[in-house]
Amino acid sequence: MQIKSEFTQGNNQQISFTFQKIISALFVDVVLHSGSFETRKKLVETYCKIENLSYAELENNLSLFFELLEDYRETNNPVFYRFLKLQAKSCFFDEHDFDLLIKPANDLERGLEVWTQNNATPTSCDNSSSDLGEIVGGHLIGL
Amino acid sequence: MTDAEILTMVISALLWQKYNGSIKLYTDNRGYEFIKEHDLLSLWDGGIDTKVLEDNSYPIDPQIFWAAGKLIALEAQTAPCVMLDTDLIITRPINEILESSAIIALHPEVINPEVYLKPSLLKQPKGYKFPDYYNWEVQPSNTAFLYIKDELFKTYYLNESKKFMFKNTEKPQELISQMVFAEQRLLSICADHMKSPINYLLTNPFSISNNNVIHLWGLKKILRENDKINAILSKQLIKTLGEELSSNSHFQRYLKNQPFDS
Repeated sequence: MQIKSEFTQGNNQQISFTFQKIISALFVDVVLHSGSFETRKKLVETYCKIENLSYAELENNLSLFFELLEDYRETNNPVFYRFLKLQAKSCFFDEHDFDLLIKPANDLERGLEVWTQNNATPTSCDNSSSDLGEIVGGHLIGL
Repeated sequence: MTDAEILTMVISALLWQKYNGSIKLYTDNRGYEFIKEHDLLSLWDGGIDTKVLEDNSYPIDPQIFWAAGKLIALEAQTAPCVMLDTDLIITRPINEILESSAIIALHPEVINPEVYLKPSLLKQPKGYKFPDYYNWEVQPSNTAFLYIKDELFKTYYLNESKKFMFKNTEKPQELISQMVFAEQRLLSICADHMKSPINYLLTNPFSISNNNVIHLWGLKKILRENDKINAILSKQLIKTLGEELSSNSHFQRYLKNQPFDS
């Protein structure tokens, strides 16, 4: 989806091809093989130093991603999927690799349908007929 | 309010001032204390008004009509005026859009019969009857953004809403249908009766051609339940909109302190 907003021309820090592969391997290990992020932290920290990146920030981003992934697996909430995809970018995980690695629940539309059936109770927090947890204009901020 | 909601409120107020003019907050004493605790008292250049809501003695059940405060505030504000929810960000100048119509709402809403109940299912105050001229076929309007040019229409709409809300105390099974009728469906019904068409900022809420509006809407529920989503959204708001506001003293604390790490 092309993001038309001028607001998304923000930080576009690049990492080396080698570090990219390390990040990808980390994701594959954790997502597919129930590996642990903890065991890879030292390596990630080393490469952050080499590439002049903030390790604290990347560690925080990676932790956020893996924690949200657990939530997504429990709920199959399509909104969580969108945020996972967004957060993956903050972790320098390639978007194409993300699409290969993490599928929406069945497909996104089916996931939305299933989630809606299970969670279609309106709440008093929103003055609208639709309460699917969706944000309007999310594409303007990269969602 | 979650951190992301507070940040959205800050960005909403600042971007409105940057592109579209002055903005004022209507709130009650409790809301004022919340704003004060978060060091945001000077965020709205038009000031903060608590008198309108605190001094109001309308016989309206706040549990059933949880957005009635918006309508009371709208009544106090002279038209032409814009009513803007705190979870909605207008990202660009829209003065030209405002000049195009006498009534502008955010987007039309589908008549979901579970939310926009048929009239026989709505709870009505004693002695009240829906006017025969009400057209129940018109699409309701999402009023997270509402512009009204004409004071006469504003008065008519709010009077119709008050007639329905006053002393209407029978509790429904859910807490959506009564309020969305009083605020959103009645707006469209009144505009239809006055033959004053409503224009919309968006033809549908998820239109990709939308370049003007960010509205948290249903995401608020998720933000309140999931701190990870809250943290990610907060960071992304700062990342994508921070450049717009980086010179603003109110916003700089968010750029420097990044207080939303989970």
